[in-house]
Amino acid sequence: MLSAQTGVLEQVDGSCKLQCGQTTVECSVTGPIEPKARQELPAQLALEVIVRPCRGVPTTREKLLEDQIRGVVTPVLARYLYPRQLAQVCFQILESGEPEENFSVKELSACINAAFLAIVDAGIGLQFSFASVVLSVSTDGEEIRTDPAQLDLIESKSTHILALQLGEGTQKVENVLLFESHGDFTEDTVLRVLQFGEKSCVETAQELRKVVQRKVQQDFVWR
Amino acid sequence: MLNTTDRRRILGPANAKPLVFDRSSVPVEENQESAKKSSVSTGNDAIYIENGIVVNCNGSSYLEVRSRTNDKNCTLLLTSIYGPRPSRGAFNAKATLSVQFKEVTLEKIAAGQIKEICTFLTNVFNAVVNLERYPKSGIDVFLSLIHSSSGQQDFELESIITACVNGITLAFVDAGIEILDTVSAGMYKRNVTAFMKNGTEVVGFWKDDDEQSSSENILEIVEKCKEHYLTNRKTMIEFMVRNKNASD
Amino acid sequence: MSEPVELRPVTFHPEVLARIAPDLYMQRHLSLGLRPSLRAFEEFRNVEISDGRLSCASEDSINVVGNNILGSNVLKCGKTMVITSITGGIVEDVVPAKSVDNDFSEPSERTNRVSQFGRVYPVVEVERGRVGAPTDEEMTLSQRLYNCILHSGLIPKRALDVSVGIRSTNSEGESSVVYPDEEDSSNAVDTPFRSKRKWSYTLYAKIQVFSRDGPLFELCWNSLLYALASTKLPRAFVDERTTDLKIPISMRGRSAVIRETFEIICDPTKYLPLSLDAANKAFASNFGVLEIDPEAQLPKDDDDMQEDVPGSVLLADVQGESEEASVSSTISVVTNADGNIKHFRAVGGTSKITIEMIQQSIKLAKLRALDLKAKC
Repeated sequence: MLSAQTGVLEQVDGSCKLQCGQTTVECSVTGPIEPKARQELPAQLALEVIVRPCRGVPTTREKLLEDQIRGVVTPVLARYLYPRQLAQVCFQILESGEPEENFSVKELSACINAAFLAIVDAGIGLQFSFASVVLSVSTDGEEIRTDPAQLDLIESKSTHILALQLGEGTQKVENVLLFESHGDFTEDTVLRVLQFGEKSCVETAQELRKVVQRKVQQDFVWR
Repeated sequence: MLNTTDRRRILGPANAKPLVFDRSSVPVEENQESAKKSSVSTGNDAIYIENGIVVNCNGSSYLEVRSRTNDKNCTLLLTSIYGPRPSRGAFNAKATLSVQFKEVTLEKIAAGQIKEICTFLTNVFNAVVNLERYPKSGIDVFLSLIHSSSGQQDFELESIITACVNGITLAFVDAGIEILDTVSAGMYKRNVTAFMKNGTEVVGFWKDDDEQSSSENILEIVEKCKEHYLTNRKTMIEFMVRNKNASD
Repeated sequence: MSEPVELRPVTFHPEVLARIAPDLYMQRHLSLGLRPSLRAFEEFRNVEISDGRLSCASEDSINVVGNNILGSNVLKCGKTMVITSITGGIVEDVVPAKSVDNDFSEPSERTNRVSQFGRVYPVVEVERGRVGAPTDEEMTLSQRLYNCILHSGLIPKRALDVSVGIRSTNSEGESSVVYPDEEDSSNAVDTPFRSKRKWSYTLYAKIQVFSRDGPLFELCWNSLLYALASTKLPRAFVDERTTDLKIPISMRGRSAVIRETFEIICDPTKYLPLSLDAANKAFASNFGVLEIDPEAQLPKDDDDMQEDVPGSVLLADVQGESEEASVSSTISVVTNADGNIKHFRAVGGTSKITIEMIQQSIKLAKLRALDLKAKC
């Protein structure tokens, strides 16, 4: 389901191309670099997130995506390591894999996972690992699908995105970084989705770990 | 084409057309009647004042001007003042004053007219605020017109300008920024005059194209405006005194 | 020999402390069991609403030139004031040539949930004493409101359909408008034109915020909801004489494109309320999660029992600079009183969001929705 390569771009500090189902994103991380005066934080690393859509120019939709990604990435970065510095995280959506005018969950989830790999590739300090999944609940409210296909998403009763902070070799869930739901659902659905999503998030994180493992092997192949 | 569309706002479908209301079925006499009423009502309106509604600025005022004769004629204006705050760039011995005007709900005043209003008000208050006291600073006035007279629109712009002058003065008082006198404006037909020092000094004069008062002597117009000014100023001062007593 | 350095405790005014050390200021309040606003942890602010009588369908301004506001709301919560005005437009829907007469396309439509709902195009402006392009906050707020309205299903698409009437002028020069839903079935003036083209209303919302004092999404959402509930759509018609008017719009070679042009005109005196889906009418509440820092607590008397201080607390309705700055995790719930949730968002920062907190916030949000619904 999920496939990714790191180090796909030459001129940035870290990069990654990630494909998840019909969604493909490319992410680049540049940093730590000198920030603009208005971005500078006296004791911490500043973060700039840019999302470019797969077609057309960025609009408010991409602004919201940037805001959501920033919410996930900010608490997991070891920001105290880089005072008065800036990290630029840039995303280019290559394939949306969802009706863009109505949804943005699949892009968001792919961006979050790509960000994890690109940050690792850039060598910027992370306090925890994190991973994200999209979930959809079918019209009858019974079936929960992880990483729904475009059609499942359109037909779903509610859509959910979950990003979790993971510890102990991605085995233990430490905190909810982002959990956002839209549609028609109840408290019971929220809890079920959360429970179900935790499992798939751990699985996704292990996939991502494999990518990192492969990267490390390749990087040190000459040793 | 792509560069001209606003990407920072959600604009909706490009092929949408504005609603067009049919006015042909409406009796026209009714409108003229209310126009007459509003011309009579000049200088005869009830003013409700409140201070400090906006908390994250330095001073603010809220004005509700309602005509006594026609309850539907009503202007709601919120003024907030930011400053004196440090201004960037070259050294300036005096504070720089700017006035921004915005319609919060309906947008019916043309952009050019808004600019004219802002320039007029900036000129008036440049003469009134003690700018020398605040070197290296900027004082920014934001006017938010929430609603303006629902009746016939003949005197609308003029009543808005009058409310603006009064509102800005009250906001300056709330902000504790030094002004030379409680400036207030009075209006007569399509003319607005801003006075200070008990009506002995004129600080601003606004005149629109208008057949009704074109035959009249300009000094007479100013006199008429002064009557309105005196009542407005009285209301404002009464409010300030009451406010002061309440807080003591 | 250097002078011995004497350390004196420094005291600050509460306002100064709130500015320079918002987290400490917050922690000290929490250890007293209060918040800086003097509210209890799970206490909401009161909300005052009015429709502001700004709408052109309201009694004050019906049939007034220049007023095109269809619905409005003024919401005051604490010191924050949100003014929402709804305006409208008309857009012609693209109707596939074949699907006009038969309804076979319906079943496939039914499964596509979002396609059944109408949209609102909001623009949020927050007064901050600056001019210029919208800030990131304003943009994300607008987009979130747009997404939530669409996915909540608050506005069924049907509610935005324009049922176009026809104005006919009789020989005496008197004109009358006949609407399809008003006419008798026996009176068959039904012209073929009606089925050929389809129009719907588009709704725009302008949301102006004064005195920003904390997160705004929930206030804007509630204000928008009240405004939509008060929205009335004008009846619209076309002139009979123009219905069969055809104008060639482009001539290239031998083929001419012919298009009927007629203007849709709105009746300034007749309005129908916008019918919202009552089951999907949900209200928004926000919560903050904050960890208690044991070191920042006020010293207690020795006699006091060693109470178990909870690791983190849930605060309802985040307000004020110090709360917003020190709350690192937030929960936002859009629900109705029956627990039909439309939008849920939890953003975890450094404080852990537990299952119990999610449950508690949903419970409180439901209670609050009941309260807010009563004001509608």
